[in-house]
Amino acid sequence: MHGVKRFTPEKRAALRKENEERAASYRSRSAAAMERRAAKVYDAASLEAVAKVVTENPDFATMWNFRREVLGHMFPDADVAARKAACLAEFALTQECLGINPKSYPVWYHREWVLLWGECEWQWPVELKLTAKLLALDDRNFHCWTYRRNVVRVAGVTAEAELAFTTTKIQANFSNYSAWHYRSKLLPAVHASAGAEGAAQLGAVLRNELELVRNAFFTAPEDSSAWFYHRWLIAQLAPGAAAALPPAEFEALVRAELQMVDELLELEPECKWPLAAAAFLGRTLDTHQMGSEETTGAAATRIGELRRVDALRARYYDSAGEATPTMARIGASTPTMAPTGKWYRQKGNFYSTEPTELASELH
Amino acid sequence: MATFWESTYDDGLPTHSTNEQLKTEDACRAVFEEWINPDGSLSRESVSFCRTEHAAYLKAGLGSLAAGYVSLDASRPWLTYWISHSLELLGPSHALRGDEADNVVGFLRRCQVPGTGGFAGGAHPGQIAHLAPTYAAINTLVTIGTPAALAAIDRASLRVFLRRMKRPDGSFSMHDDGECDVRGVYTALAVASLTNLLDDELRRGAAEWIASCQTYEGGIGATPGEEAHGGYTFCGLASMVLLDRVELLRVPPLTRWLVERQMGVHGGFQGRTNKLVDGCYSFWQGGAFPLLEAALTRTAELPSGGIASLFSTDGLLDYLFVCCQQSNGGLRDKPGRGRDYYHTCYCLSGLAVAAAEPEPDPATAGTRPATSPAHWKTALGFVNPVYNVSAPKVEAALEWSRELPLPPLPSSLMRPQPAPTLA
Ligand SMILES: [Zn+2]
Repeated sequence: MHGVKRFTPEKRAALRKENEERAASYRSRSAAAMERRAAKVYDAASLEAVAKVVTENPDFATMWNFRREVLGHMFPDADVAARKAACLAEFALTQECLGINPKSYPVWYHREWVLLWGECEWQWPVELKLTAKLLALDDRNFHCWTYRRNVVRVAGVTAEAELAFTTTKIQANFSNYSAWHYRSKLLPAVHASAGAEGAAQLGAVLRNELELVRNAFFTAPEDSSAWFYHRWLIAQLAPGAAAALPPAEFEALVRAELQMVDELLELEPECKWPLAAAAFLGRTLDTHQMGSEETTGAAATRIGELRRVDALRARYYDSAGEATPTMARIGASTPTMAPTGKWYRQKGNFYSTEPTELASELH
Repeated sequence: MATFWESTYDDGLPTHSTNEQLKTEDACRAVFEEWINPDGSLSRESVSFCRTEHAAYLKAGLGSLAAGYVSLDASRPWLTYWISHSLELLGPSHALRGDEADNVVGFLRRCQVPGTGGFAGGAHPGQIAHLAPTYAAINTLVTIGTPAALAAIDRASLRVFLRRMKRPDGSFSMHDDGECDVRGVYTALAVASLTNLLDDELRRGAAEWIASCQTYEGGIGATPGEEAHGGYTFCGLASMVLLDRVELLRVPPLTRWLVERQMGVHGGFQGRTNKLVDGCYSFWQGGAFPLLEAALTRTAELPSGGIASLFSTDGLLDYLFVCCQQSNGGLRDKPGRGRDYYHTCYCLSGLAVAAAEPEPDPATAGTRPATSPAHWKTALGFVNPVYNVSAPKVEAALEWSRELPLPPLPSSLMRPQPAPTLA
């Protein structure tokens, strides 16, 4: 409950002064840019005024809107060639701002707008490289992933190429769930050809994917990312799904996966994720009427072990999700409920009286 | 920090995420160890709730509305919301009132954009209206709850603004010429609901669009096709509650996704699969459970233990009281990080949700002992998790808006004025 950084009074005063000076300078720059917007001054000096604000505060949406107004007025006709220099300046500015805050909504939005407004085909390869570079710095930045997917769409990058990109991301770090997630979106797109042939193709690829996740499991079984992807793979191959295998093949596959997980559990008997996978695979057999007394019993045993090693969720395992089919029915009915109802539980004393302050005794 | 969930990005270090996870667990363990009894149990009774320190820290933050904090320049209504909501939960003797409340109301009035509607991120004339500060401003005004605070909301122009943000596909833009994601639907529906402006046009297509953002594994992403994320999952689920369309989501995988986000070692929540624990997800993930509870109660399929049968409310309280509280006031993301108003607000909101769970019924609770001491369970007031505003204040606002007529819309929706002149 402690761990508070303490500064000396001198350091504190210096920090405050620095902050105040920075704030004052920012306020005057911000006022200058706002004045130009109010006066509808659409020129290069206005762009410069905005740049001085957003490089300090990238999240200031009004500034980016003003910037787009200015650009629209400076380049009113659809002469894309004339816009190129302006677009380059916008890419440089937004890149600088992303260096300050790589998760700024208005900055990413503006960059995407420029890409479309300038019809910047020449910029597409740069954007793919830039997003790859930013994802190397933070491989979970969902703003960057989203932007990349939008570039991919505009530029017509193939799903195959992006699949290869996710492979390199997973090879660099298979904890990267964002890459696994993207893969689950790309694979069906790669093998989108209609009919039984497409399904068979996808099925074959998904079975190869099982090899990829197996490597991840045996390297770091405690890492949850690949396990969630594993569930997706199995679900795609189940009867009735997009890449459904013939029932006998599916059953054989699930049983083989179960065996693999059981082997892993011999090595790591206390590990949560393989226990959960074993329970899931056993339940999958039951769901498709492929289970036997033995597999159903084994799944129940696994849930018991899971309950023990993952005690935090013991009551969930008991009462809901994995142990009983109850949850499968939830959501089927459509009763009405006004959001104005009493959501919260009534308690006798709505607010407690002030508790005895022990804080003074705590450091 | 201009938006919903903070923009820290130094917790996603590539290729070392397992190491980072172990380091975080160690840091939490070290903090817990200070409170371990000789018999190895956690001495929860000795961990006080630092109410007066939290209140003092929050009140000091009101001063920063006027000065400094460049990074908050476009999100000042968030600051008023984080602070006023936190103080409200701390109890009547800390809630904003009198001059302090009047100053906040006056400030938010200056953030409201006349004519074209909505609230901007600051009081500078000329800032554009944005759904995020609109949500924060209206939640603040509802939390203050005085007639003057509620009357400060210009419902006629708000309706114009919300209609203008509505998109053909059922979703909402965050602002004129702005991005669109699940936050837009949630903030628009929440403020429309509180002010009795939720009409068929605002509802149109929203539930179907949210459902299209649900991922295979059950959580909800920012837009269709994106990875599931705790903040968007809360916004999506709360939107479905406001629309009364929860059944459009696949509830069992959603439940499992939420349940799996609680961390075994320290009891707090992570925001996404394979990320580190963070105190603010105590609300974004934890607050989703009472919404789920309401949905499951309707179908009479809620397990007998209430939300405590879905996640460990005791585990979350341990994390918040021991790892997130700072004894000098304020709450934080995790041990080793500093406090801030955003985390203080969402840690307290999550705490209020977890503490609202009643003591387990001995008939059904089995051998599970009640672990959280009474002074933890009664630390805060009740929160309405749909809006994340004090429950009685939500009721009062709904009571206020119920009788108000739907203001007429101009024949053609008003376009935003280019830019009002500076005063
Ligand atoms: Zn956080």
